[in-house]
Amino acid sequence: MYVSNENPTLVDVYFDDVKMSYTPSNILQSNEYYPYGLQTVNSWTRASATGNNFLANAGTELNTTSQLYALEFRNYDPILGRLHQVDPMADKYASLSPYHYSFNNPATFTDANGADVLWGLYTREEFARANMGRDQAWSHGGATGDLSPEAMAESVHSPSVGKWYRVSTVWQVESGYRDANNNFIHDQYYYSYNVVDTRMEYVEGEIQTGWFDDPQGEFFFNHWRNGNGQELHLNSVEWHNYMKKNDYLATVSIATHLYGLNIKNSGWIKGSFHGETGKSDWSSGYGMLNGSNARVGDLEYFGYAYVHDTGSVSYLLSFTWNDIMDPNAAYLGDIIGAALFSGTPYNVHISWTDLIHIEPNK
Amino acid sequence: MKINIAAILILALQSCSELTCDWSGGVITDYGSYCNNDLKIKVYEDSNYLRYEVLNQKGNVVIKTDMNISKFQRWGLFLDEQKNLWVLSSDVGDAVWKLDSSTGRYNKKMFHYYLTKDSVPRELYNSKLKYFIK
Repeated sequence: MYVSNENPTLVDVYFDDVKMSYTPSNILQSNEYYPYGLQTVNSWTRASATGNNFLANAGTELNTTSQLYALEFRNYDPILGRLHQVDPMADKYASLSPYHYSFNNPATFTDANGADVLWGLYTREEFARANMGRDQAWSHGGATGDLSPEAMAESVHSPSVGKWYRVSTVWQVESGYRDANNNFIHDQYYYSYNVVDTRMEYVEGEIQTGWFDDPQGEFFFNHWRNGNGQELHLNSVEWHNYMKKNDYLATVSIATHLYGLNIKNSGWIKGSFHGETGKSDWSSGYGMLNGSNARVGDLEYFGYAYVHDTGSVSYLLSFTWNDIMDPNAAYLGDIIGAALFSGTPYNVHISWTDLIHIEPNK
Repeated sequence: MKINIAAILILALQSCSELTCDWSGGVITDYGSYCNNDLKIKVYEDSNYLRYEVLNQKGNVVIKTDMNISKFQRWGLFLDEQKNLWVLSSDVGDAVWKLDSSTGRYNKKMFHYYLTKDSVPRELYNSKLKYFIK
């Protein structure tokens, strides 16, 4: 409480029956955004809580000192609605300013890494995935001790996609959207996770803890069971990082293909080939992807190859992994238990960007 | 004489264990060996990958798996009347090993789209592998 006495001379001030009470809200943080990602004055974070800076632009981090979004390739200024460095894909979008953000249309597009704009709207499943990623980021901030399962029931406007999502608790994520009357429409995807180190452990639902090697595997499986065949376009930062982390894919599958191109001159390249993750299990995201699928485009890439004087080549490439999720239910029944699981096959497209350097063969 | 009888018995038992080679071609969705007068197809799994191998009459390998196809996703093989081997997989897509009748060699063609009714033999479309065809 702060009291100000504006009198020029000292005057005693008396209060009659002053009572101050503190009723903590369940909400730890509430962010409201302008379309380009700048927060309005209505945004606030409870004083005792560590703020979550991963709430906008597909989960990219807001640097609270510079007030720039720290994208992987560039920095984004939500005040100007411009990126501070030149677009590495400037030639691809020659009609636009090389500093543009999301085609100057942040309600429809987003730019999660500063390398290329993500096309189209996020699906509702991606909302759930993105929220799971934010939970993880929050736990890394060390604030999990402040949070209870009953905490947080807020609606947050996501500026990058023009839809709404709701975070009900740190462990419980409920995705949906606002209809024309601003009613929150709850969709069927509901995940409940407990954060354990860097992986999320499933604590509710039919699937037992420990059956999946990573949350991505569980996500693919759950979507097969409950997604009614809806196609997925996954291009959030979490998926970007997940695909980049696969060593076999980068150093064997992709590198072998790029090496085979035998590029001698700098320039733009595009193509597709069969990609492999090097994993063949049923329980991890990599295992379920296993190999890209030629029916739906295989592993596509587009970007720039820069040939150094030494002959080595640096590639800045946008990849899209195109695949079909169609598990063999009989196998899953054998492995998971007596129950035969059933689901609906679906197409999945995962996009990410990577910088790859290949030395010449000496 | 006893030795000769024993040798004959052993030979007889061995011939009993030989494949009868009466497989008429068509769908393969299980591991095992499939044999007809022209080809012998071995289908097995290794490290969770589907593997297949085709041998001709002389016992030479004419087709061998060239991709890591997950056994955890749906798959199926099909030998058509022209002795082409179709490999259908939800994991990596679809391909056909086409027989070049002039050389007896097989060449692989990968399909970069969904197979349609018109792009496959009628007997394949009418089989249970129709599941893979749009």
